[in-house]
Amino acid sequence: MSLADDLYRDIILEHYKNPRNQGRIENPTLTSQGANPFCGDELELTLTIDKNTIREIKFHGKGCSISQASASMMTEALNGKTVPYAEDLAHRFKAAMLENAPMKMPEEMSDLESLDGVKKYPVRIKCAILSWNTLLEGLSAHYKGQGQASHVEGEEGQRPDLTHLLGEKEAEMAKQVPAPEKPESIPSGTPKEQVDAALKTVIDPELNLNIFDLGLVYGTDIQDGLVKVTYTLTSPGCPLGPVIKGQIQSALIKLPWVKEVHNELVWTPPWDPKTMASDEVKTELGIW
Amino acid sequence: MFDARKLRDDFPILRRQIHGKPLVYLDSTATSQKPQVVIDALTDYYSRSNANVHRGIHTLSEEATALYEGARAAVARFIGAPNPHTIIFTRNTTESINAVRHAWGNRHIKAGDEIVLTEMEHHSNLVPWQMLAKEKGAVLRFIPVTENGELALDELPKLLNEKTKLISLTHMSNVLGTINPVKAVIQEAHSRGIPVLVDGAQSVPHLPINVMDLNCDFLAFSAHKMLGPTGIGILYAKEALLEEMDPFLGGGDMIRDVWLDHSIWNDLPWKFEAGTPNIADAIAFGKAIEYLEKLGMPAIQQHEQTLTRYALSKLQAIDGLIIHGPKEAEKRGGVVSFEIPGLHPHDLGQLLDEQGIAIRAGHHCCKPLLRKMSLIATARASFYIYNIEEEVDALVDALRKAKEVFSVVSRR
Repeated sequence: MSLADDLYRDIILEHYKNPRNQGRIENPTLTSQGANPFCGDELELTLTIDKNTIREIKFHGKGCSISQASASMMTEALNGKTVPYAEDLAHRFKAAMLENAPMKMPEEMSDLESLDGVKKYPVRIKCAILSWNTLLEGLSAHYKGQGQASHVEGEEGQRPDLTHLLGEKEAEMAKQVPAPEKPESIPSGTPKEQVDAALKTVIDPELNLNIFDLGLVYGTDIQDGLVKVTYTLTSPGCPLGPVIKGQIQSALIKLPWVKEVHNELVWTPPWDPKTMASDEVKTELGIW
Repeated sequence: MFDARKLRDDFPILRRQIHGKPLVYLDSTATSQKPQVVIDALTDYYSRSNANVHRGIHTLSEEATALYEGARAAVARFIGAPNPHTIIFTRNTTESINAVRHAWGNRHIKAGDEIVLTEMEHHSNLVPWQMLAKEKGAVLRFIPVTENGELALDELPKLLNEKTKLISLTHMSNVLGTINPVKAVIQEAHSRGIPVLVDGAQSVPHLPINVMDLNCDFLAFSAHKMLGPTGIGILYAKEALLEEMDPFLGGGDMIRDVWLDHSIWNDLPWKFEAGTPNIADAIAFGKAIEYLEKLGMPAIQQHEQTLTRYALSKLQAIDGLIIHGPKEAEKRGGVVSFEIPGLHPHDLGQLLDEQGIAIRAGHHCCKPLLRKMSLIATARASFYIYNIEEEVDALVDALRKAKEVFSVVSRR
């Protein structure tokens, strides 16, 4: 069977050429937008829902024959159906596409069965289910009393599942790996204390001690989100100047309230560990 | 003497059948096919000379080092670089551009600075600069693209000012095939002291390139688009720039001496090549370069231009088919993007595949450009040394057939 017979069945191409329910409803109860960023397909569904029944449904968008035909068939199938019925149908259609469930549809919806051939072409499955995912996203918004929804293929944790490449046992184990727990590290204290703590994380790579306790920080000035740091280096020839500057910048910008960091390198007064470094550092350096 | 028909025998994959039809490979812009000498270089290396480079005092290590550094010298020669140590091996063009972003950009780009790109950049020459701009508070500016798919160069002087710190642009568009006048851009930029990065991913495989003549400051390209293996990219930069740049990866091989608390960086080019490099693929890339040199880049360019001119005329004859980009073959490389209204590129790609024809369908990693052209996707055929007129004919036939499939449907 050639591709044209198998994937591009006449029914599909006919829907593509003569889409049903194309356009926009003027004052819809529900609007749902869908997109597949991988291929650029875009779709908009508008629905009039009354007493839990879809009175009217239209689609509008750009896409390949499979995505457009699927949307056309879907709108044709759902006109006049209840919302729970529509959801059930969407799940059945997706199961047929994604889980290889049998594509069995009520007789008046037999056009949908023509899409069964798509599942042999894995890259095109997303084309076929875009309209259905957009519908499901819309209906779930509708349940929450919202009139707007949007769906983007590949979001909401729809990472491709690669576990089928593993053995059964390994796939089971892969599911059980817990996520590492993140330690809580919300900075506490006054802004000045937070800035000092952050500067203590900046290590002078030559001495392997932090610049704050080394006494290299000559002053900090905090004005709302702007932090100014005046600092020096152990010697004017220090080749690590840019490294330390970058470290100060990134340590401070991590504080959630800091918007901007200005750091000014000064050479006066010259750094003197005897008078400027903390006691611990002096012990470390053997200076008394 | 350049003979596309004859050199096809060097490419074992071209003997393959796809769905019972001979393979017609028109997707070399995505990646090129590989000649037997390149494939053999990989197996030869692993079967004869495999050892780590720059380390062992034993025969194999010395052999591996000589082959690896020999490949570097071949790359330097190929692009006219003044010294092999200005050639840095990376993974691909994307990594080369990201290397400049980190190793050069971190030091030179500050809040309020401006980086000038074009509207036709591949995501790989856009996203790294977006990331850097966001990090530093810098601003991106773009040379617009005209209706004909060319750069609006008269806009360039208006985009440049004392805040402009870098221009980064593609030499050849992977979507439209447009060959950009990078030399003119570089001259304009240098007159204002602005360095220029050239994304050569599409140009280096297809055009004669000499970095001394271009006078570009950085050049990034990939081996796999020019007969070489995947996993090898090149960053060329002027020596003075490389000297002042910080390494962007730390580890073995990139250091001269290491203490517990600090290290001294190695010399060029190894300062930028931390860890065991991709030795085998670099060596095989050297073989790909020798293969291209034997054919001669001017002959390759001429072959592709002839084929492109032929394809443009044949495709234009298909009723309703729209070609994007410059209409003149001499303004473009061997890349033709097109669409047939009513026939989505993905449907087209699938129907052509059934005929054994491989083209690219999609956004080509250039979403901003496609958005500007009000397109969501295009179909793209691209040519290289091994493509012949019969393959263009096969494409044209298959396009007509695809049109038929999509037109014979009547309303039920």
